[in-house]
Amino acid sequence: MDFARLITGVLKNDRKEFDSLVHRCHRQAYNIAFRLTGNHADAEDLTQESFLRAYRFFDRYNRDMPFENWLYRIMSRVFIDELRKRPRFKTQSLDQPLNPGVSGDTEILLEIADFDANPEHQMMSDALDEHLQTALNTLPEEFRIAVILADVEGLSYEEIAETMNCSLGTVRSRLHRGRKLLRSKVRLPK
Amino acid sequence: MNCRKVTHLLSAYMDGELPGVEHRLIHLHLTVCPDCLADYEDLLQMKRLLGRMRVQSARKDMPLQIVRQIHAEDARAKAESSRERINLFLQLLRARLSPTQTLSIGLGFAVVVALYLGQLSYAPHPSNDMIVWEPPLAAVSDAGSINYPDAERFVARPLHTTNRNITPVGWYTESDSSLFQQHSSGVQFEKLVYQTH
Repeated sequence: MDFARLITGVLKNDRKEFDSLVHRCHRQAYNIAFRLTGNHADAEDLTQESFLRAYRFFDRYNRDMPFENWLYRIMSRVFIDELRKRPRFKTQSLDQPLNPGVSGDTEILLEIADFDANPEHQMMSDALDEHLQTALNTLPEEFRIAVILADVEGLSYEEIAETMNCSLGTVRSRLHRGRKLLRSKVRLPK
Repeated sequence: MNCRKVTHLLSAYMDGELPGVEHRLIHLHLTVCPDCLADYEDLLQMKRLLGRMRVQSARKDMPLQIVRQIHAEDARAKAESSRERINLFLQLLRARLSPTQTLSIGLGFAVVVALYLGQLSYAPHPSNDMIVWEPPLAAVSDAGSINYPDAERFVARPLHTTNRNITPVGWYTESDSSLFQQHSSGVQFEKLVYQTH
């Protein structure tokens, strides 16, 4: 067989497979990217860069792992790399008040409405999303990734460990500490 | 099990990620400790809130943009690779070689050219299968352009064809790719339609 044709065929098949994966996974990937970065512009950049890196290393992708999980692994690295290189992704310091200027309190908590008391508002409102997102943005990146993968994406500890390339114990600890920090920033209804 | 240890394990307990014994011990503790139970309920509520956050949607053309970037990157990589090969060849030409080395390289080159020409002359009768096309999205060349209905104007380049009597006149769309059907500006062309002279 003609060598040029063989190579072209392999590349074409890879690209075809990858194109369909982009189509299948981009919605989920974008949602996770949004929760990590907290805004649409950065979520778009993060999603695109993650898919591009995934394509570059597609020959290393082990088909035993769900593609989405492999993509999240790449996305986590891109996210952390980008944060360290240039703090372009909007993050909020833990020491910084969440709503500066609203009151003079040193510790300002996010109030979450009591859904049970307001059944007509049980659907998640944009305002509530925004409050939770603001709280998520305060988490250190590794805690944030673990919490989002567990609570937004619903991955198991084993999957998170595989995605974040760490042990089950580390996942457990990151989730525990991440949720504790998140809890300290959000005032839940009693 | 004391409250401090329970607090550390509550998160994993909530996710059902504790071994049976620990899970049961925490379950028992929660039935007798209202403080830990309150912490647990807070954690559970937070988890539910996060799980109910609205799914954020990307722009509709995002998958197409990603696919285009990938194709453009492929094209760049190919161009880079060609440049590197040319540079290597030029470096070789500039290198000071002994007459024996020059003769060896010249002979090697002649053999490669002869093999290539031989392959061309023994090529089987041309058919549709003999034509390999660069996907139109990434292609730039002088082979002509086509205007597909509702699609952007693409230029296609034959990577390899053995039959100069064949002229491409159009392309079929790939029928099983919803991505490209959905985004008409990114139609991917699969089968070549040709006419013989």
